[in-house]
Amino acid sequence: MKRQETLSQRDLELLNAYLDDALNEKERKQFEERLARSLPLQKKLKEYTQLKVALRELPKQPAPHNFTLSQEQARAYKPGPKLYPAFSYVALTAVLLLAIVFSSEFFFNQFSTPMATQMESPTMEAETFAVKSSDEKPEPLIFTWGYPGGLSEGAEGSGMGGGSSFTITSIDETDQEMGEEAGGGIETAVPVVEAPSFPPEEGVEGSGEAVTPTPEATPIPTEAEPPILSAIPESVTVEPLILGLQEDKAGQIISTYPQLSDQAEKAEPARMWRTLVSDKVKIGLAAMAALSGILALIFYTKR
Amino acid sequence: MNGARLAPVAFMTEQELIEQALEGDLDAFNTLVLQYQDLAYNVAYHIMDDPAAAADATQEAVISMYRKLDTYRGGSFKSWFLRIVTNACYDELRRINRRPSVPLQPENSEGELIDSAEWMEDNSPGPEQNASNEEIQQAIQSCLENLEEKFRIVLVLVDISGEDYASVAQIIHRPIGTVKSRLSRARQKMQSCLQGFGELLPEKFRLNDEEKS
Repeated sequence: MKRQETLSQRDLELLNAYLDDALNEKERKQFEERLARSLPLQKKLKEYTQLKVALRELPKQPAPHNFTLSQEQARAYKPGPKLYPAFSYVALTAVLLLAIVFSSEFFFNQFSTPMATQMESPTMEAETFAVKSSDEKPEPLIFTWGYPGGLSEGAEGSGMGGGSSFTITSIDETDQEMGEEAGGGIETAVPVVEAPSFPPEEGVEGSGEAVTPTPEATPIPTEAEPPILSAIPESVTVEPLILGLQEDKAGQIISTYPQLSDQAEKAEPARMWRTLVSDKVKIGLAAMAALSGILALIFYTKR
Repeated sequence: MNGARLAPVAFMTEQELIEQALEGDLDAFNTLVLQYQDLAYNVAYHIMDDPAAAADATQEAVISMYRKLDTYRGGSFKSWFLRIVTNACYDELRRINRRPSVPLQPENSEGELIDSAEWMEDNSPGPEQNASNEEIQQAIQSCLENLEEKFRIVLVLVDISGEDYASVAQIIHRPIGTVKSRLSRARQKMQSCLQGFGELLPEKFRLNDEEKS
């Protein structure tokens, strides 16, 4: 016995499209071939045709009155000025300006990075000079980093040990058997001192005047007057520099890294100022874009 | 001045009327309204199934069309207007659903309340209707009422208003596939509903026993 064919939703959609003459030529021929073989499809087509005819024959409902507008109504319903395009343009302009600001900052940072590296390079070269000078001068200035105790205890833990303070130890107290390790500590400490801004002077010994930076203790050779170093801005203060040794200051904490970083921030006031203004502009533009966008949306929906 | 414009407006094409209306010519606009108001009201009537609500929706649609005329971007003006009409019907249906009105309590000639709302039906045969057609129409109208709005609107637009699938898709702002799907389901539901009327319907709308099995 032949099994009853069931019609899927897709079949019914095709049937409706066929009934409404919404199939193309190829689809119509394919459907007609199938229709000729399918009794359920034929039955459904008959039902839907009757329904369509019945719906089409429903009595037309004429308009109960004219829906035309009078002059008074026309004046009352006259569309007002279109505000949403204006706000749309403002929002768009603000977004574009914001994009320009961000892209400018991006490119500025991209191209300013090599310059920043150049600015840092004198320090690196000073480090190199310091290393050379320490090689030439066997008498070291001994800075003990990160440990306020005597050099005899702190020497092993010195170097770039990361302490937040350093201690000056008189060279007289220095054990001559400190060896090369202590010397290494001196070498690594020198770049932080940033002494190169002072002219070197001959015959300087470790018993300098005080904690204040003096050229006497600068371990930079005379011939090592690099023009690059003179390019260091005067605003870069060297207060924490230790260029000399003083017996009565031995063991005292002179400075700490945070102070150095504070000064580093002060050394770039112009950059901070630019960033601050830029942020205000960005916030203003973003607020303008958001506000205008919201207003444009409101006027668009109410138009 | 309006009278002077009436003669040329009467001979204008639809596009010319639209252009004149866009320039602020109220006569041109009203001529467009007169051309489409019966169609608009008829669609609204079958969607709303209430003459007063249909009239409200049509009037709202005309006002909305007047305010939005500058957003018309060519194409079928009829489809564009019917879209405004269906939107107005949606709004009206939402308004009615928010504040369902209590129907007037009908009274008979003796002042007693009538329980059934059947009094609203007009059973008197029209000049162009016979009794059989009237039964079918009442059954169809009743089934239309029970359809969900989204199915009812598609069915009204295709089968009563005679729009093609592309126009309906434009009017309801949905893809043609959605129109096909909704139409198929609407006809299925209508067919099922009409079968529920059983003996009330003419034989052609009934399924015999072997067809049901």
